[in-house]
Amino acid sequence: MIFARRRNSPATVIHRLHPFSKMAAGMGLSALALCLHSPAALAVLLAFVFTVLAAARIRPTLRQLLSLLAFFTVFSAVNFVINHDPAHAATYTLRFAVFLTAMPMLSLTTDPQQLTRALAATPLPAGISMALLLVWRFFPLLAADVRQMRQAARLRDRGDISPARRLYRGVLVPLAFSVIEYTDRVTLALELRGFSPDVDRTCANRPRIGQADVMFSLLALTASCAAAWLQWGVGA
Amino acid sequence: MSETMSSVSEVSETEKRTVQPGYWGTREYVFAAMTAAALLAVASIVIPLTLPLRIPGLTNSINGLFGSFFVTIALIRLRRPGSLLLITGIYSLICLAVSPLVFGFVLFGGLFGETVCFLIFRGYPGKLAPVCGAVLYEMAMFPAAMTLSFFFFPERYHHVAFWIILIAELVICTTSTLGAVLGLKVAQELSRAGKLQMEPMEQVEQMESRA
Repeated sequence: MIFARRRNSPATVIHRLHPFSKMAAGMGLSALALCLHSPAALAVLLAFVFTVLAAARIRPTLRQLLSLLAFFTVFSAVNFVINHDPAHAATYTLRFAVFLTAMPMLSLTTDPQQLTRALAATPLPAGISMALLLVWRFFPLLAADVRQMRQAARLRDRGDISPARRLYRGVLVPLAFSVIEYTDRVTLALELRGFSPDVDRTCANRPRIGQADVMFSLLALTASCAAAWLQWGVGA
Repeated sequence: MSETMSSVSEVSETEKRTVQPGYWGTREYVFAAMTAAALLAVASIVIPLTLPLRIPGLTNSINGLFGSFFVTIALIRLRRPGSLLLITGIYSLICLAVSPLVFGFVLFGGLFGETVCFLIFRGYPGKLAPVCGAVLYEMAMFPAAMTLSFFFFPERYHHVAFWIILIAELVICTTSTLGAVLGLKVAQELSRAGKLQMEPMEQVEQMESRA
């Protein structure tokens, strides 16, 4: 039991934070990024998100890093070609980077059990909370399924099928079947465990806002204030 | 005696309250969640490939092809009024964590499609209503996205002419109709494979009440 608890206990202080404090920080940073136009201000927000991800010991693989680098290079190059302004291109690229990284800050550091307990405390209907958790849990599985289906379709192709037909027959139809299969299995599993969308979920150990959450929120607020000062304070 | 009778009636009232099933069952919630996950999986592949090109409506038109495909299948399966709102509601709540802008236009698309389909078809019976619902959802998202984007980035969107939006809407309509028709075709295949019921709602309700 002790070993099980140790194995299940969150790894870092970021993992132990209340899911809603991470969600609030992520959404606040994304909303602020929409209003900022200065590359320096956006860089401050991005630096904060990277610091949080580093504190959570999240290290992307080399392949992920290269994919992100290629994507942002193309994104900034297209923006530069359209506007002929490097500052403008940098602003849009940094803003998009904040959007892409603020969300993983929550998803990569929150396990489904933590999120279930947090959602159980909200007035959301039990069915909707369960549906949100299922999307959270099955999105990576379905994304992996799509990748496998694309690869399988490419391997089966002998060059006599058009790409559109390959996409339809090789990816869309199997994905639709996969969605139905998952639905049947998950519904059966939930009903066997006595789940009902009409009855509220009970929870013995609800996550509470602690000192770490207050500290984290203050740090996020400081980063936001610093970014706002760089945007409106320095130039004004 | 009267106390016992009143307590018995209280118990039966409580039983009635607990036994009474809700509007949506577990299967419907799970199916809506899986559809939202499929929409998210497709969007996560399509959007990074199309967004850097910055052509107005390109992302929506390509995403519309796949989105309407899954939404049509889901509407054929769920059928009840409010189905589109359930799917888009779950999807938009997930998108809320990405951006409040995305939440806004996804929910607007769902509300618009749902309202029109409710007023015309009273739900999603037959084959036309699910196709209409999916296409309207995809088409309503683009103007909502443009309006919200203009509100936040006026310097970027003020030069987009009305005719560009109109052409983009036509392209979105074409691709999402194509996706919805393909979805209908696959739903028929799923029905033949015994994975999906395509009977009218009345027949399903009759079968449920008999069971």
